[in-house]
Amino acid sequence: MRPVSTDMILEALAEALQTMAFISPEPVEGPAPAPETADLFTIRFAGDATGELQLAAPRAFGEALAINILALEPNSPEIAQRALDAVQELCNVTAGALLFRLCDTPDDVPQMGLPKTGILADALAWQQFAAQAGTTVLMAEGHPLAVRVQES
Amino acid sequence: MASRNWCRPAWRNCSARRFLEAGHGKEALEQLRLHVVDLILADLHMPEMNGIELAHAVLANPATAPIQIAIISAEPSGSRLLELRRAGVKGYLRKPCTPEALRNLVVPLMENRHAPSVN
Repeated sequence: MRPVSTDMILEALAEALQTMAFISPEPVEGPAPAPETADLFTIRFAGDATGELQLAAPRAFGEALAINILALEPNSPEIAQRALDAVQELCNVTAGALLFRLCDTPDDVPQMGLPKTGILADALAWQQFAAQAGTTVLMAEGHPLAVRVQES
Repeated sequence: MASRNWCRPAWRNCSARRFLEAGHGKEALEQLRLHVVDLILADLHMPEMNGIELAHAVLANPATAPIQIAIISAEPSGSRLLELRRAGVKGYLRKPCTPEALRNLVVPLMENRHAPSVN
């Protein structure tokens, strides 16, 4: 297995966003915005490599993602219902795309768990998450996304 | 599960008459008691009952055994593919995938032709 690199994580996230929702992530220009609250998604993997991928995003990003994936009208009541599901799926697909990049053969690929959802309750919690080593913040559809992989 | 989000629009291009949704394998089994189904497209990872457990349950029941089952998953693990093949799953698609890839998986299964095998 290859070691996890930031480039690999960003490539996997970009592939997932572009394929699922035709969204291209962009680098943050200037100071990264800190949302008032954000959802935190975690997916564990275990095998030749063990760890977890974490992705944090404000709910508004989940709503934008759901609109893109489902081709919903901007006032659809489904947007709020599907926002969390949409980012969970993004987290799942990103983790799979990352593990695919890390492994030489399918037999080496670690098995993945179900995505779990938590909360970053305020801007300070976001800033602390974003400041941790290995975390990258980027923009998608005008919203910040923070992503990292922790191996254990 | 969450895959329903992106499967639903893609499904419109697959000539399916009707698209039923279930949140996990147990809900899918409930749907099978109420509806006649040609094809199950399931995520591998689902709460309550995962895709492999669902395949085992469907294929063990003579009433539902003729249903074609395909799995979509972000997990590219070779050992999982072997498990799927042993469980009788007829098709597998790794996410992320395009609507065209989904159509190429689903249409042959719907037409009951030679389907893409799990390999």
